[in-house]
Amino acid sequence: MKTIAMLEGWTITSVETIENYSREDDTCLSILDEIKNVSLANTEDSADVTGKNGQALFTIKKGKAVTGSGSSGYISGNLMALQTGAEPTEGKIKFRKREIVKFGKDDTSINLSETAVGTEGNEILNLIVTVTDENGDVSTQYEQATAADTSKFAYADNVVTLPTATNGKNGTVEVIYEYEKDGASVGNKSGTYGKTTHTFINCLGTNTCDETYFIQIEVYRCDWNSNFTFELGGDGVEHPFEFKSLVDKCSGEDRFWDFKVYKKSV
Amino acid sequence: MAEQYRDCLVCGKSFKVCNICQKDIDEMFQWRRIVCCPEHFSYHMPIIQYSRGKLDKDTACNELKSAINTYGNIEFCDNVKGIVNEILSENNVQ
Repeated sequence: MKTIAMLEGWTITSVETIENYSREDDTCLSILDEIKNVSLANTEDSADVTGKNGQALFTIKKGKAVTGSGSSGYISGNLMALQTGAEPTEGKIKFRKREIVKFGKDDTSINLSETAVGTEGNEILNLIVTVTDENGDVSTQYEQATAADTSKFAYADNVVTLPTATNGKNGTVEVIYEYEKDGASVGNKSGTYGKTTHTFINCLGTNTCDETYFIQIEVYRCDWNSNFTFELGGDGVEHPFEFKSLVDKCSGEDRFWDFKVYKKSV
Repeated sequence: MAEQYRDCLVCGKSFKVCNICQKDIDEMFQWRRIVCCPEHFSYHMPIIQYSRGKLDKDTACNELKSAINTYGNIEFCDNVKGIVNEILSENNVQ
């Protein structure tokens, strides 16, 4: 085996992106471009065949494996989808809201900050009115009805019409409801697991002559798993990830990965 | 957790609520959240949509009549009696 000069004498200075593509149709599934760190661990097992006096005669090598791990500087929903096996969706997404609104003696209704959605007649999931009178604070839970009456409230077009029993009183209303916004969502189902992608880890390198190299690690079958922990709160939230490189049987060459490099022209 | 009950928005009968059942169908048709039986859902929709100005009187009347013809006359609760009478008032059907 001869040495190849281009494979020597440089170091990786930055990990630029990790790009994940569908193995079937090369659709780009996720791009991470703020990689804080990534590691690629290569291992193998071996067993010695020994002779007299326990001398090692042969080493049987087996069980090659490649695992990777790292962390992205920001949360990636598309990466989450690869890790959990979910299909991300976009469109009208529901969010739950809890609102507390004050009302006065002359108020018979209150306005919500968002438009509640749900089954007609049940848009408001929970409503508790707390009124202040000579007995102190008294809280009462009310049901939604088609029309407001003594013991029921009504809702339409962001307006909650209070039960008539609260008229002429001061107090607050705690309202729990759901509203919709144009957004995106990715879930974690119990029955789905991480996806396998065709992954490219793109890096830049430099040598002692300050020449720039482009390095690409191609992982043919990158199997993402659901082992990640979000440390919420504090100074930013990193998105950690783990993957395993599986043998690429499809190509017939049984590869885990290829490490490719070229010198970028000045 | 204690079971939750509420009054049917159509007949006023107390029934056990479930906000979880049938989450696989469109939320618009999840009757277990608001009425005591699927039949009463057919009365409920024209009543509430008319009260909110989403349906005109003729359409609400036709839909309510259709429910009455299919499932029969029922005793509406006090909360919606006024609205039902208003919907049906010019058609002398009750």
